[in-house]
Amino acid sequence: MRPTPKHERDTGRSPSLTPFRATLRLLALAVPRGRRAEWAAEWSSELWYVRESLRSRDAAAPLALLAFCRGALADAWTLHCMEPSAGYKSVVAQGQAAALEPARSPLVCLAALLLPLTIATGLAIWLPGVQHVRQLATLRTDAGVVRIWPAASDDSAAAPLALGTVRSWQHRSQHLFRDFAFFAVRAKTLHGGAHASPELRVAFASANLPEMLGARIEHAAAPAPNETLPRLLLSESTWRARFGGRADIFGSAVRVGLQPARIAGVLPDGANLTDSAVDVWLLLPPAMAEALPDSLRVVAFGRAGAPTGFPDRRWNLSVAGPHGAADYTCVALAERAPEFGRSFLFALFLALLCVPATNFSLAGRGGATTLALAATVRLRRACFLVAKLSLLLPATYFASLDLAFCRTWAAGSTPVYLQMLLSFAGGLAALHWSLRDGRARCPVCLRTLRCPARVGQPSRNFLDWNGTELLCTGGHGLLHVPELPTSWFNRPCWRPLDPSWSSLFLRTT
Amino acid sequence: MPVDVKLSHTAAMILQSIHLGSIYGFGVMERTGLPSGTVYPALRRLERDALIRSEWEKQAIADRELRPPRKYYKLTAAGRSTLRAAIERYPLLEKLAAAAPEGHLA
Repeated sequence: MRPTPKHERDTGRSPSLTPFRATLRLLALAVPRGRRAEWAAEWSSELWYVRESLRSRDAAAPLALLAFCRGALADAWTLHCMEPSAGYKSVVAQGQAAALEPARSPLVCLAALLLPLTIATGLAIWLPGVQHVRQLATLRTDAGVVRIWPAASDDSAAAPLALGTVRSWQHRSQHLFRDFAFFAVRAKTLHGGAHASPELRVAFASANLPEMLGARIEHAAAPAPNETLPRLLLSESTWRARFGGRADIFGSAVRVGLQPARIAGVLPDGANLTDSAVDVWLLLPPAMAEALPDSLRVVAFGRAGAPTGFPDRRWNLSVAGPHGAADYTCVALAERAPEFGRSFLFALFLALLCVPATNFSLAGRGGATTLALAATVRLRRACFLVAKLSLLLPATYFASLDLAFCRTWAAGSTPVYLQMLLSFAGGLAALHWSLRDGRARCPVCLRTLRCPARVGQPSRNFLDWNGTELLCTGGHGLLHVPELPTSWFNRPCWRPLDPSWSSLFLRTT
Repeated sequence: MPVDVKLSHTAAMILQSIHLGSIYGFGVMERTGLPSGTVYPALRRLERDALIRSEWEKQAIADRELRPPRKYYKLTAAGRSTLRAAIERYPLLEKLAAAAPEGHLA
């Protein structure tokens, strides 16, 4: 074993060459194998001289060494590109290389597409903002919660239902609803800190309302043991406008009118599933809710007793009473929640319409002439396209949600429009790539076509033919791509090779 | 390599630098002020085109001076001819000698 020369030992002189030498070793992997050792030796030697020249400038030395290593990257790449290109190798050798190179296989392509899908799905699970919209999306399909109002009234937001009616249903023996929630909006002054706020729209609500509506509470403060004060939820806009978005207010006591309350969190504006404009939500404990008068007009919600919910989104409820039957209209909250899946499908539809306007083919538009292909081969090709799209499109959907809702929460409609825009762009890119990739593959074995060769001369565009020829290294055929589409040769043309050519190719399938 | 090969100004500057005695990569960088990402790839191309050739310094010499051995570059006959043609094209190349850093001339 050769002893380490003195100049190669790390003598503690600043900066140490060890990390830079490791970087060079890593970069050496890009250098063709035959020249790698000499390349590494030269760069390692030069590195030492660069460090020696920088002794008087210790502060700038690491940056200079880093810049030197960046130069090594360019050098390694130059050597890599100077290697004889694949075009000089024989077709047989390329066939062998293709057999050893699984990256061109359709299965590897599908496996690679799993990666973006996994990343996008993982982010969708991990990002809080996306979690929130997924909750909303779940609520959209949950028809178990309905808003109830008298059938005679057209305005569901006018709170035309008396609280006494809701109480009578609560105490009645019935199996249609499991429980009820309500709120009534009043203008009240919020007293907290040094100044009193102007009048706010305060919703006096039952304590179970946020849970029933599926609303997610941000900055939720845990209630103290034996807490008796009602919990106060601020809308996001109120929190920012009145409290400057401060996080230290949570858990502090305030007064809503004359009623003391404790600030318990923030309700994101986008999470408000009611039509009412509400600044703060005062969640009343059961004892306080019981003290409200029966005549109070409220907006009421009911949750289905059956776990499957209600079969219809809108239906009529008839309740027998001492003065005859009263009719009510029940509408599932599902109709109010944002529908990200539908907006994605709409954006995808638009992208599909735009695909013909994009030049995705190897030359011009339209599919390759594949008259000679058997039905099974066509079916396999179509299945591969479907498999690619079934991996790419969900990845696009989740990625659009990730990007649009990557903030802790997102208020307003901007993220919804952003998600639609991203869905359109991502969907168009996914469709474009899938079709183009399919065209660049052998229709028989679905491996990527290789060995592009220019055939013909530009002067023969109209009398003979001029273009590029790609080869399936499995020997299945050639794809002729015209340089300029003509009336007699305007699309890429697949020419299968008969078995007499097979001796030239390594059998890969 | 034909003598009438057209060099870029950078390549001509590197060739001139080697001709003036900056006979290893770092010396060329010092003299020309070009970054490593420019000098070394250019050296590869010049060597590929047979305008320069390289050889390693003897290990014993480097060991005696407690430093790593250097890889020296020298102009070939084709390189000298090409440099003469390049100087006709870029006359300012001859002034490069004035910027020669101390201790890097052979």
